[in-house]
Amino acid sequence: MDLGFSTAVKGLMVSQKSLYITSHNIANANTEGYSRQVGAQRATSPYNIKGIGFLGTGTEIYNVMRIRDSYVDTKYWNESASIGEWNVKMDVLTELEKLFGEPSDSSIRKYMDEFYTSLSNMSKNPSDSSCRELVRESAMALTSHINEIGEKLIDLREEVGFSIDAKVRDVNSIAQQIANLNKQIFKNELDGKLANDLRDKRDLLVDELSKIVNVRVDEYDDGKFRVSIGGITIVDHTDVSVLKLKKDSSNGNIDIYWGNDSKAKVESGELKGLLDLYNEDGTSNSYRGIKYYQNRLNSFVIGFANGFNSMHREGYGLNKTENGVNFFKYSGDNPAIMLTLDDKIMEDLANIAAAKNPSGSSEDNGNILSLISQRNTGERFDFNSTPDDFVKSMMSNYSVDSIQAKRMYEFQELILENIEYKRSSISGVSYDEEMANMIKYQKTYIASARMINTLDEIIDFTVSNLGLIGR
Amino acid sequence: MRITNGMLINNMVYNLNQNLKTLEKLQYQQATGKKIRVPSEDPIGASKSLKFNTDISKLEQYKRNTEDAMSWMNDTETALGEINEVLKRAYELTVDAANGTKDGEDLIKIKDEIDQLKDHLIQLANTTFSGRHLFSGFNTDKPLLSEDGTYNIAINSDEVFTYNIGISEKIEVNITGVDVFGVEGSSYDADSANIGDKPELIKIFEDLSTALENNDTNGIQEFIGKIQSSQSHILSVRSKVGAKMNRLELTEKKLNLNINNVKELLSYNEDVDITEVIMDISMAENVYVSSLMVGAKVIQPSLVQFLS
Repeated sequence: MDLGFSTAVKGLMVSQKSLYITSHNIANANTEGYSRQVGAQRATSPYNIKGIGFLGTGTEIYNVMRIRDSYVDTKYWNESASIGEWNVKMDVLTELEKLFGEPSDSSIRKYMDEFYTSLSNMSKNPSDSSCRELVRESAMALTSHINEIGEKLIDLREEVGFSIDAKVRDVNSIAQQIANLNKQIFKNELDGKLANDLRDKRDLLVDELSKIVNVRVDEYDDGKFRVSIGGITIVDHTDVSVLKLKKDSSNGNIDIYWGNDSKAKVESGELKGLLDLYNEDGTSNSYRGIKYYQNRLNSFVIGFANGFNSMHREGYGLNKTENGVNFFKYSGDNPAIMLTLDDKIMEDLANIAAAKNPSGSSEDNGNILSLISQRNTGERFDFNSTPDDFVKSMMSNYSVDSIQAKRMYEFQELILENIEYKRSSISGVSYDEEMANMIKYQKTYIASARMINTLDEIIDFTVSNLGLIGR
Repeated sequence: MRITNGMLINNMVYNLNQNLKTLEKLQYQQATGKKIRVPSEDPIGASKSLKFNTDISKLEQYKRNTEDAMSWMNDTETALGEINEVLKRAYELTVDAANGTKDGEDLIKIKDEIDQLKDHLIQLANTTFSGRHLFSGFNTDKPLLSEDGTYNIAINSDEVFTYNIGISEKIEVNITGVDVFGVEGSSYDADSANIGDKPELIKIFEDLSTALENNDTNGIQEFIGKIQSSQSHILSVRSKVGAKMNRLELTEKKLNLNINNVKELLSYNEDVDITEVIMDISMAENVYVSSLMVGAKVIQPSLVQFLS
């Protein structure tokens, strides 16, 4: 009789536990990184009755498992680095495109058109000071627009630099959190049972980390968990090696180093994207980062200013007998932000060299015409093409780079979407399933309870109604 | 495959997001009328649009240049026409004076008129176009002739300025005074004049005036031929100007046509077809609304609703 009771009680207990598990699943249906859990149920050891056979002794839940496919996790961690990298590149390049402002009314093209229009107007009345004023004004508008783009490029690069700093700190903080979890998980799992919810938390942290930088995860048989970046471990069970930034003073580049001053191998992820954008200048097949566009803008400025100046120096100002006056001037190693008009042009409008012949008669427009036709021939510009072509090729560069980033991102998004889909299919909570389980366990519980009732009645009957003779 | 509620919701959110992206892009196109927001949406179109815009700005400038050259030449033509009138009148007077029937007093009257005509010629030589002297070569800020009829400035016949009326098309706008009035002694072939030199045309008038004053009938006879050759010289200058004006008119027509063409190309390149966009928007809206409806239906029911 005892056996029957304990079997029924075991049934009650197991149903109850299963209901708890179901309840836990439902409660965490929307928890990020949560994997559904199931109770592993089995029959308890049978009771061998000699000559009769094995009599069942009920049931037990011997383990609570989370349903998760580590293969899918590994795939996710590999792919999400790539999406992080292209996402960052896409964002920054779109910003860069907007900053150049093509095709709009606030673009180098527009300001250059206006500058040359004013030159053309001046060619028809070179002695008129209002025409000369207009040339100076539109030239100033052109130079300050280029200055503005130069400044914005510097700002953009600095922002990327700040992001690198923030991301490195993120990596260190996540690594620390993973190490803390490792300690807890290790302690909790000493009896061989898995700490499901803690493990979910740790996997979620690895998800986050894998977006920032390429990681490799190894879990060893002794229960130790190791995360490495480019072959060097960042989290070794409970130990963390931190990353740090180092600025190369020779070229202003930022690199990421380990505590022992060896360089970290960042191969993908948001950090890789940011580093490419910050450091690379497109030389020798490297990525075309912000520096590349700064260099392009600078070579445009130098080429344009030198070419224009060289032509301008040949002409004569109004009533001037000597030539050799520059129109533009620039200085420093970032000429885009320093480009402006020569002091002589600022001092005196008459210094704009319209005339081809000495003495600069009022209607001599020979040099202005040369300056205008220079725009079509590209003569004397250092970049060996017309300034318009240069601006256009600059635009093609950044729009193609931006498209590439966008396409790569969309492609990676699709892949990741697919992996998440698979993950969700395996580990996600399904309401229908949980509800069905709930009913299932409820019924088992009720049936077990009825079992106790029946046994109770049998005992009651045995005790109260049998063996009346003895009374 | 096991389908979970999270998958359904993620799927719906992802798809709604894709639909919204399309809708947002179309709405931007409708609001701005432009296809391209950033060059990466259409790099080739963007670079074309850059070129077309610059082309339009250049062509419009060529058109303005053409118009300005036209008005300069119009004034030149008018001045030359008047010089021709002066010569015609001088010719009549000279023929009249040369036939030998006039006595001294009449000749003095003719001389007075010739002197007047000479002064008028000096005025014409100093004609201005919005404050600039038409015939003064590069020195348009100074009059060509001084009051006594000699050159006020040194002038060279290559002091011709040109305007751009096409990418590699230029037109010479002005006629230098030395080409019109010549230099004393070299007929009208002189290439340059110095300050104080006397123009051939003025010299003819001055000499004629002297001959009339001296009643030198034979001398007067000579001037008939001189004035005639002056007339044909002015005529040749005028026809040069006229030919250039014709060319300008043709150029202007051509430029107008070009501007229209490029504007059309630009519009084709970067403007959206509004009807098409509006249709696309309503289509995208339909898709969006129906995906909302279906999504709302799919994610709502679960076993939870049916358990009592």
